[in-house]
Amino acid sequence: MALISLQDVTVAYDKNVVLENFNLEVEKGQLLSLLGPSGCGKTTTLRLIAGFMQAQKGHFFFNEKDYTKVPVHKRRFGLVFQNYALFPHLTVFHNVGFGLKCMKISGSKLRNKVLSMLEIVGLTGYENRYPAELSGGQKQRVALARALVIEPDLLLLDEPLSNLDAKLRVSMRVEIRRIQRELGITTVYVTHDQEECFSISDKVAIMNQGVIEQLDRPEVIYQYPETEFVARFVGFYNFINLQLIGVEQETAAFKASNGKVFEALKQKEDIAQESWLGAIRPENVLLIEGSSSKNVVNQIEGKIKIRTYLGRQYQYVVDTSLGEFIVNKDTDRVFENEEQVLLQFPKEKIRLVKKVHERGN
Amino acid sequence: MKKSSKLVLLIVCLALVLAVGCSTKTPETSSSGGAPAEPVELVISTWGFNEDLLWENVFKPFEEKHNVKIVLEVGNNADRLNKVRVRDNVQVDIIFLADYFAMQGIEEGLFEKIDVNNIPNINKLYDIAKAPLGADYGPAYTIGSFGIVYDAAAVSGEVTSWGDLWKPEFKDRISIPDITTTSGPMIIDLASKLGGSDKIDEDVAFSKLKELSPNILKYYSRSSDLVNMLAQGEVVIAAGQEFSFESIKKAVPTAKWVVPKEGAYAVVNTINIVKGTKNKALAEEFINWVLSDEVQRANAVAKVDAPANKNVKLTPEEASGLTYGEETIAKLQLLDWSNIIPQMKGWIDRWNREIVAQ
Amino acid sequence: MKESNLVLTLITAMVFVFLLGPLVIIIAAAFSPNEFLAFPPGGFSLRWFENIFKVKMFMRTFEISMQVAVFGTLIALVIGIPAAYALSRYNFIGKNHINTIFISPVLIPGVVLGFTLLRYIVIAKNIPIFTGLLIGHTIIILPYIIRVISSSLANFDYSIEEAAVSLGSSKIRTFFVVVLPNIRSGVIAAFILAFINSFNNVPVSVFLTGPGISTLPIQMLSYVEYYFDPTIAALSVVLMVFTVLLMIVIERTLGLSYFAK
Repeated sequence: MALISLQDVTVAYDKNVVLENFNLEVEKGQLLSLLGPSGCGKTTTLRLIAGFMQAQKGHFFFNEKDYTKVPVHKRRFGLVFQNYALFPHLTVFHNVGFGLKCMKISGSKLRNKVLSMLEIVGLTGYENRYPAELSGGQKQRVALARALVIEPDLLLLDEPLSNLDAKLRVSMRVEIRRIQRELGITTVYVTHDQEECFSISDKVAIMNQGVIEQLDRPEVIYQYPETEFVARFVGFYNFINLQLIGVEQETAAFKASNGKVFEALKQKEDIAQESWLGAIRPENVLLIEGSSSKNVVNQIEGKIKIRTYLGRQYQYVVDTSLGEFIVNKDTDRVFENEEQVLLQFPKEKIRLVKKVHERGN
Repeated sequence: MKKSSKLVLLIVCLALVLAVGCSTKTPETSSSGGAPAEPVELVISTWGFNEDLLWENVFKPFEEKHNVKIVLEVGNNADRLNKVRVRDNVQVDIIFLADYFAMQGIEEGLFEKIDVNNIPNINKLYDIAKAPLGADYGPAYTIGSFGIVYDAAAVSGEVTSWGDLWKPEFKDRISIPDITTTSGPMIIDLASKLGGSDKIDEDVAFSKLKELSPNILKYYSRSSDLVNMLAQGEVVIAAGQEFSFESIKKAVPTAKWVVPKEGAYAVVNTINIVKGTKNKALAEEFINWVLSDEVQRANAVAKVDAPANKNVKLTPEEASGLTYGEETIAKLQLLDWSNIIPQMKGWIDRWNREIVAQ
Repeated sequence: MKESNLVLTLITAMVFVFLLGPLVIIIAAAFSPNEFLAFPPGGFSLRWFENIFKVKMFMRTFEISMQVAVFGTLIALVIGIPAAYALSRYNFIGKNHINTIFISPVLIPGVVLGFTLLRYIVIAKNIPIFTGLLIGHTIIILPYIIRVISSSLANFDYSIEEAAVSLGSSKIRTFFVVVLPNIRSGVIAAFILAFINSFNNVPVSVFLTGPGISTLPIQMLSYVEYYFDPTIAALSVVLMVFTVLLMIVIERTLGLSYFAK
């Protein structure tokens, strides 16, 4: 069994069900991220693991032991909060030493542990400062040190970087990853920042409305989203409704709602399902001069609606009979508003995704 | 961490102190005296007036003589009588009250009957003080009078009669007591008589008082208010009690005390034993002590209370400010309280409607 | 603009006169050598201040007032802090009603509260006078404690508490070690506010005092009933100084802005 195992968990606030029959597994030593928009249930999942919330149904197994009813202070999980949650009345030293004191560790043993942990997070010399005298990044390091010094069985991070500025976020996430690797500690990381999440995680669980839409390595999720939600999340902004009309060895043929035929790589064995969404990133759509697509496969006619300058590229919103498409194109040939164009969708770039995630699988 | 544990410690300590504090406070009857025999506790309800002198002259010597611990409840007549009315968890043994309030207590059956044989000093009192509220109830231990005070420097001519208060020249220059004070019923009595009735006649009195109202700046309910008004020159004539004249004189050296030609009224303060006392014999002993030559003289010399005991002889200086002398006392009018009390409620209503509201 | 400033200045000045005028008169009268309250005073003397210490009952009732204020406030803290904590931390059925009940002693006139306590608790349960007085004062100051503590808990970040629990500290230990130190200023403010309220209370004390047990304000009232000298003004000045000193302590430690929250 995995180190963490949530089995058929249901959590509700009053009548508002946040998680229903929810399942999640995390392997030992892994850093798993829960990624999703606010309200998707990621924080609830984290608080459930931490023990601040009780599941109305289901079980939480940790290291094969039933932790469902174990109180928070007996779990020995390290927690890092979005707002750091440092003890304002204690110095850095005592903040970090707090958990050790609870474990009845004191004297030079406590001192050594605290100091060496402060060294790991790069805060040697700050032990007599109060939290109010620290910068945001320093506070987060203290919070991390405080959670790690008790040698927790599990590290839980709740949007730890979202109160920091962009530059600091990048360096802190590298830091967190380094420390996590060094200590080999299993970690659950909650965030709504896609880039942060992909850069740091072993596995990413993308959550939407209390359901994990996809759980996989970041690379896989980035390239092969399974659902429309995940696809949008990783930058597939264009979608075409497709009906399966035929399957060949490598490719499958589809018909769009305007009757146009599209071909895409087969991608899946169980392509039997008839209705798909073809997803494609803006940078993969080709913009061609011309006004008639005739009978060319994967090509439709359109008209430039809005042009935005992105620096290296222009971004166009193109009006077509299949709705609006977003296309990024280099600056070699600049199209004007109202100009008639052709859109070409390379078949190897079309990703077939499901419209919605089927619950309960 | 250190600070917070100190805080916890502090709270625990204070809670402990509190518990101890409470438990030492709770047994009201115990005393830390350490005397061989636990002294009996005697609860006395009295005014806060001259309390320190009363301890010296009356309470302390009695405590020593009879192995008693005296506990005081102080306050004005009405408050103290009310507390005796509503409360039965605290036994007041002895209560000092002005006649008007004492009579109410008697009517409501709040007091024990006394046995005159146990209080032989009653025989030494002026007649008026022996049994002002009936032979079964407490005697008066001091006699005061209710007359007129005026500032001779601010009033042309002499003031000799209650009727002088009605003179139009004194518009807004007079203060008289409110109906609810001890002297209130005396106002009704004198107004009735000035109106031509030979005893109290409510209608006559109120029509007469309505005539008086343009002259009244304020109906006072505390003698300290009266002193202040006279001291500040807000009023120049007042109907008041002689006991406050000493204070008035200090503030207004030209003030004069007048016994009106119709006569001053007797204001007698009585001592009664409260029903339910477990110390009746001791209480009677105490009353006898208060009436003794010794206490009566000490209080008179200290100007705490005018003597009710005929054996106390005072020099003119000693007597100044006190209602003293056989002749003076013989002339005082004593109201028939048992007749007045039942009518008071009606008078108060009428007073508030017809006099104060104008 | 100029005109409205003038009007505003005038109004402000008037408010000050009305607020401070009586105090000035009392202070002046306290130092008067006269036998009676007079303004302006006819000279300068400290005799009435000396007199405060000569009146034994002032000292005795001051002692009782202090005891009642200190113990009452401590009991109210012991009840009020957990109550305020529960009210701000948890959501439960009837929370608003409980809140209202805790605040209600402020809304009920003190006279009504005092009489009710006397009639139906002190007399009915045969409670000794000091204890009754203590209960009465605890009840009137509880709302202040709960209000002040609640407002300081409103600014308290409960994730700090969660952090402590996650580090292995039990709920109760966390309350004392983490929550309490962080609302310390609120506790001090509540203590002082409650203390002043209890110390100055008349309407409730009037009913609950009894033989041998009276409070300073009650004694002062009974004093002015029969005495006309400026001792009472002198005593008022002493109490004013006492209150001002307390306020300075608050200002130095917490800042008066604490009460403006």
